[in-house]
Amino acid sequence: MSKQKASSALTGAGKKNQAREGAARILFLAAACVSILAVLLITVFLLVNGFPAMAKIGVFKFLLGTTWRPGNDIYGILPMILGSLYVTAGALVLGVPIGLLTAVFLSRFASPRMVKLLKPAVQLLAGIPSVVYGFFGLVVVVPLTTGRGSMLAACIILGIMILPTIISVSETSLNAVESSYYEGALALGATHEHAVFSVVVPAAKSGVLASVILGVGRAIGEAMAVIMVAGNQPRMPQGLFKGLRTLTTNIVMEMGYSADLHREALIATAVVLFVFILLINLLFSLTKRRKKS
Amino acid sequence: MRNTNSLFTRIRFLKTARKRLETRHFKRAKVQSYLLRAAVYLAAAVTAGVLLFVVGYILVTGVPNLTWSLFEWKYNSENVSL
Repeated sequence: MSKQKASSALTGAGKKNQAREGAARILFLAAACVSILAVLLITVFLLVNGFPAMAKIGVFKFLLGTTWRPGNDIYGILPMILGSLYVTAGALVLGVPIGLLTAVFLSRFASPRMVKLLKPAVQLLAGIPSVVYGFFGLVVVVPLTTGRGSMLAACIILGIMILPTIISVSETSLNAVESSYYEGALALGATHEHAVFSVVVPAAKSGVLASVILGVGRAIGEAMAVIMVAGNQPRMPQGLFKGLRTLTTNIVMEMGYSADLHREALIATAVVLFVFILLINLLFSLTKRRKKS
Repeated sequence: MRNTNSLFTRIRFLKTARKRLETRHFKRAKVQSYLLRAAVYLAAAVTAGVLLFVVGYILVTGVPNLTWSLFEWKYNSENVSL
C-alpha cells in the first residue's frame, strides 16, 4: 500500500516537472521567436523602404555617384562608402597589431597578478560608451592631430574602440591552444618568444581572424564617436588629414530633418550598411566553421 | 701520417665553422626574441596607457564640474543647458 502511495507521489512530481519543463520550453521558444521576428521586421522595413528609393535614383547612380546633394535631389553615396571603408581600414591598421600583441601578452607573457589587473581594465575599455570616446577624440585627439575633424582622428578613435574586441577574442583563442604545441616547440630548442609567435599564434589563427572580423563590424557600424571627430564633409575622401563622412554618420546627421526621397535615400544608405554587416557576419560564420572543422 | 693530419685539420675547421654558424644563429634568434618581447610589452603598455589616459582625462576634467545643482528636479540658471 505504502509502495503504491510512494509511486503515485513520484508520478505526481514527475508530471509537475514535465509541466514545468514544457512551460520553460514554450517560454524559450517565444523569446527566440521574438528575437528572430525583430531582426526580420528590421530587415523587411529596410528593404521595403530602401529598394524603391534605389530604383527611383538608379542603383548605379546611388552606389557609384560621387555627389551627395539632397537639396538638388542628387544622391550618390560612394564618398560615404569609401569613407566607411577607409576609416575601418585605418582603425584596423592601428588596432589589430596593438590588440593582438596585448592578447599575446595577457595569454603568454603576463604574470597572473598582471592578468588580474589588466583584464578588467580591457573590459572597462569595452564598457566606455561611444559618446565618451567621441568626446575624448574631440577634445584630445583632434587638437593633437589636425585641429579639425579628419580621417586620422576617426581612425585613431576607432582603433582604440576595437581594441577590447580584438584583445578578448584573440586571448580566448590563444588560451585554447593546447599546451603540447608550445612545449613541443620549446623541446625543439625554440625560445619562449619564438614558440609563442611561430607555433601558438598560428595555431590560434582562426580565432584571431574572427576577432579582426568582429572589430571590423564594430568599426564600420560606429556612428557617435565618428560623427564627433571625422569632419563629416559629404565629399570623396581627400587624404588622411582631411574630413570625410561615413555611412553611419550620414544617416545620423540627416535623418532628423529629411523627408520624401531624401528620407528614403537615407534608408537605402542603411540597406547598404546592413549588407556590409551581413557580409562581415557571413565571413565570421565561415571562419568559425573552418575553426570547427 | 700526413693524410691523418690533414683530416684532423679539416674536422677542426668544420667544427669551428659550425660553432661560428650556431653562435650567429643563436645571436640572431636572441635579438629577434628581444624584439618580439619588447613589441609585446610595448603593446600592453599602450593599451593600459590609453585606458588610463581616457578614464583619467574624463575624471580629472569632469569631476570638478559636478555640482548638486546638476541633479535638481527643476531647471534653473545653473543647470539649464540652453
